[in-house]
Amino acid sequence: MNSQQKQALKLLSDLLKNGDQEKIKEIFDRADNIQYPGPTMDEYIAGFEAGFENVFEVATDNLAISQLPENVYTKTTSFELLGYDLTMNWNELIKTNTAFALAA
Amino acid sequence: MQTVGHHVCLKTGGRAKVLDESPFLAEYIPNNLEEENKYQFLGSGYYYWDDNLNYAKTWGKNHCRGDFFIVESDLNLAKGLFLDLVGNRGDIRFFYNLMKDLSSHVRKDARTIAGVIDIARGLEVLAPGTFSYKVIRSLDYTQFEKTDKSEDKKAVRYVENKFNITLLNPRFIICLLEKSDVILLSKTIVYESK
Repeated sequence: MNSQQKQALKLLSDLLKNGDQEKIKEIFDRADNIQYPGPTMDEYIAGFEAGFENVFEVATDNLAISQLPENVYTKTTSFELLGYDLTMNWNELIKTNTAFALAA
Repeated sequence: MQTVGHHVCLKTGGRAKVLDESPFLAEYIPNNLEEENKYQFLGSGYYYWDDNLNYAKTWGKNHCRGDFFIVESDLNLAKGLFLDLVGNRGDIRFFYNLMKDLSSHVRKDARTIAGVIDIARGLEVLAPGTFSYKVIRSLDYTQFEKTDKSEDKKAVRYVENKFNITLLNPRFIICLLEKSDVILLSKTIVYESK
């Protein structure tokens, strides 16, 4: 990192600690999808490892693929084609795929 | 440094209008209350494929119903304005740290590249200097391409007795966060879909 970047991170740290928290929260809320936040970073990594790229935009811990809202980019068809049970949720899918990988 | 960018856009308005008004803004609105959410990989901006006319054609076919122009531009990726998430390890480390810092604040949800860029741009307004970049470049890659055997995508091994690989036809995305004559040096329509 160059000095400009180190300075930027320091400014950011100061801003997050001492800045107007209401305004900061507004910025965070606008940028991230609150209603359908998608998987966490750990789940992303697990998803990558399990090969489930297509569920990144849709997966939540407790929602079955078949229950996902229509306005979310689901690509459920791919799962149907692959023969997966659409009542499974994200975590179950990962486990299933990992099991497949281990069996192979 | 300089590169050539390929911007794909609809033919709406015809050649002269497109040449005059391009590049066109692609908006990132993940919480769109009025219509469908809009997602862009590097947030709102003006998008190019880095020196990749072939992939620009493929992208146009898939996203513009086959009715598109490709505008080629010389791009000046000027030091200080350019965040290079492809070829500058310092820039990548900076972005990683930024992402980590943002993720630990407020909620743990600054976890996409687009989300982090959008938040950082918002914070730049509150505290100038936190994210003052005007152009970003990154690698576009999917898990499935690891095993893709097609000639233009397959990975190449460095030596015969190791599995280490590299890509000789990677896709780099360039996003101009704003239109700037310092960055955008020229415009020519180099392809029109039939």
